[in-house]
Amino acid sequence: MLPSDRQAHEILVGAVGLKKHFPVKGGVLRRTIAQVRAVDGVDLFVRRGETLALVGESGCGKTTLGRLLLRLIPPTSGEVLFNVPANLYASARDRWQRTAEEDGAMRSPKGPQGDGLDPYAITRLRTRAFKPFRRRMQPVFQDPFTSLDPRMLVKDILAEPILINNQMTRPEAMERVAQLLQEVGLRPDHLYRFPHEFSGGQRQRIAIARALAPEPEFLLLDEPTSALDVSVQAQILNLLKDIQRRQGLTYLLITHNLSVVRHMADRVAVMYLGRIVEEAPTRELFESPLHPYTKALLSAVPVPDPKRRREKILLPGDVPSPVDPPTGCRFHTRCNAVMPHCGWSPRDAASATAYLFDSSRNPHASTLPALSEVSMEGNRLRLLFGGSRPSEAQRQVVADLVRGRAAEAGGMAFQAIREVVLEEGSIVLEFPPPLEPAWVEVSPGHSVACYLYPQPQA
Amino acid sequence: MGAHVEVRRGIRSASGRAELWRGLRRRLDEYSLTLRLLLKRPLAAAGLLITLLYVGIAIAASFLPDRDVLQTNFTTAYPQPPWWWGNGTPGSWFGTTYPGIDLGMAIFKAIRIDLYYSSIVVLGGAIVGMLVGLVAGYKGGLFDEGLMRSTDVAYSIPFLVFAIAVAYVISRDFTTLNLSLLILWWPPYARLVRSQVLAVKANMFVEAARAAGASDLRIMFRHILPNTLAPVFVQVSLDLGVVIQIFAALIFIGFVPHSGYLPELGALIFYGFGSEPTSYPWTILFPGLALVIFTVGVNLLGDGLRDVLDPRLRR
Repeated sequence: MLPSDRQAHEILVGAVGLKKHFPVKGGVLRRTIAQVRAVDGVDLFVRRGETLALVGESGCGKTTLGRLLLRLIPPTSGEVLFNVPANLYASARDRWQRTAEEDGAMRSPKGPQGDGLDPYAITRLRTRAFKPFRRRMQPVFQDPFTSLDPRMLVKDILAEPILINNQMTRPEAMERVAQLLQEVGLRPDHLYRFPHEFSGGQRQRIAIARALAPEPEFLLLDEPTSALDVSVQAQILNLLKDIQRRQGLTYLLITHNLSVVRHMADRVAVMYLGRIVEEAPTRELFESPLHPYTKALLSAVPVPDPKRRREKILLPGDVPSPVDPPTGCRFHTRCNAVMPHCGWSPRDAASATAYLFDSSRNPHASTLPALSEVSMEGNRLRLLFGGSRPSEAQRQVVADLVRGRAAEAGGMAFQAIREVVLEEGSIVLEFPPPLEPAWVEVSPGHSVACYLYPQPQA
Repeated sequence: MGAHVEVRRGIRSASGRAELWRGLRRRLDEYSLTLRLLLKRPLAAAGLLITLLYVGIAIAASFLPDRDVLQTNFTTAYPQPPWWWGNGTPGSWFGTTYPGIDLGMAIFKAIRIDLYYSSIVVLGGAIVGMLVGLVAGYKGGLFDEGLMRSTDVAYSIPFLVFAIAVAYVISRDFTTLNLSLLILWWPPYARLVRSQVLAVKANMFVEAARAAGASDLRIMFRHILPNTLAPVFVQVSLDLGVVIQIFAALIFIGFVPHSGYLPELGALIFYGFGSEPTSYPWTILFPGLALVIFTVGVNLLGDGLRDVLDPRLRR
């Protein structure tokens, strides 16, 4: 046990700069050819005794983030802090954000030494030293059909966490197990049954009892009701609320069901493509969402009133691949309030240029030589014209074409082009350097990462 | 004070025993359910019956004194037919084989030897293969790669050729044959168990156990291994027949010691062949039948187990 554990601090679980990149292996030699950026720089904290909901669509990294917080998988970089004073967490977060801006990806998983975080950072502990923390953070998983060992009796499933952590002798553990079963609304004679003899709701109750068995302080609820019948969902949620009230537990509720969020959570964090985009107290988030993604999410909540029609915000396209997330604001490719400085990059314009500047296809480009190649170089898009060196007049034509396209619908990427320059026998379209929107606290406790809201002065 | 503590401990351990006992009974119920499901299938039930019959014979045969088998009848060097076979010998149910061995007794002894040694080969292979597959599948990465590639190497050695080569180098006897099979029998089990481990590992109960603080060893042996056993049982029962056939095949092609007598089904067929099988057909018919029936029996049992142990069909 760490010395800091003698007292209870305000923030029970906090993440700073947390990243998890999964390698994609390919080729004969199984070399790493790409990284799936499942969680890509997350700062998140859960206060002692509250319920924080983490929402976002499938594949945005919610579950991976949860697993990182429980140290079920090691992070690529960043820290998880446990039971940490609020001011220390805030300063760690500031420091991390500053250094992350300075040297982007160059971060060791271990933070700087002597930063005062050693007593709190569970990510810095060795496996053995971390073991006493395990029991204090327990998960409840989505699917109660795979989360219980089918070859174990309920009594053994529930007793295992207690016995592993040497918290009690076996007979004592058995008494506690019977008591736990009653706490989650099952009968003691259910102890001598196998998981397959129960319904989904009952199984989830058993999974909750198992999570409670080692007397944790923090429960990770990873979509605890989405595999259950609607009629059972409410029972399970109320049970969880009940347990929280009685035992003063802290919850992180991962879900994509916003009505569950409204029912359960004190605060909400919205996640998109590996990043937190907005964070607010529940009521405030539902009443005045700030981020366009949050607005779209909220507009998708079904309203149980056929007469009331709301304007639904439909997001175009799919979630971009986390292997190669969009530059700048990750949401800019689907955002309905997008602006030229949201992080457009050559990638967003490249496919259109093949038509726009090709003299054989676009009559307006007839004065240009034949376009032979379009290449992306960072935030520059280079147009090569089959050996012939373009002239200043031709540069002017390209600039006009860019301006014309920018005025059309869907030409936002071209609005972002800052300059059209003549260079080494080719024409280069220059985009602004990609910057991510800063994390801005708009009102107390309500933060958002979006260019719509005033950015701090650089 | 001391007495008080004693009493408390007594009560606790008694209730602890009750809990364990009740858990055990519940597990036995589960096994008897499996058995009932198995017996509902006529072919599987027949397979189980045949297997049990052979096991019974094997156990009974271990109480037979050897001299009953080697009751050499020196009055005639030729094999004698059973009493119901034309002009048979009264009192002999299966006749005799060359050189004057009572065939019934010899088959009983042979079943014991065959079952005993094939069990050793199959169980030995299964245990080694299970450990290799479990560790490879659970640890993954380079460890997995290394273990599975060496499994491939072992798998690629043809065991008939290997057994013959080992016999050539060491000696041509039954122990050597067992040893060479034992060395090569684990790779299929390693692959089988590894594939199961990969599937079971993805279940959330493994993650839950890790979150509770369970060690790798505990996760491997308490949670993963019991969930991979069903196909291993099936494979073991199928393999028993295969190994006995390999014994028979190798011994038939001359894997017997030059001198002495080996009560083994393949050897008995071999002896029969050595004594004009057209004139004395029972000398190869009975050991051959014993072999076929056993192989069919364990195969039926294995197929039945495959159906019954498949959790998708049960739950």
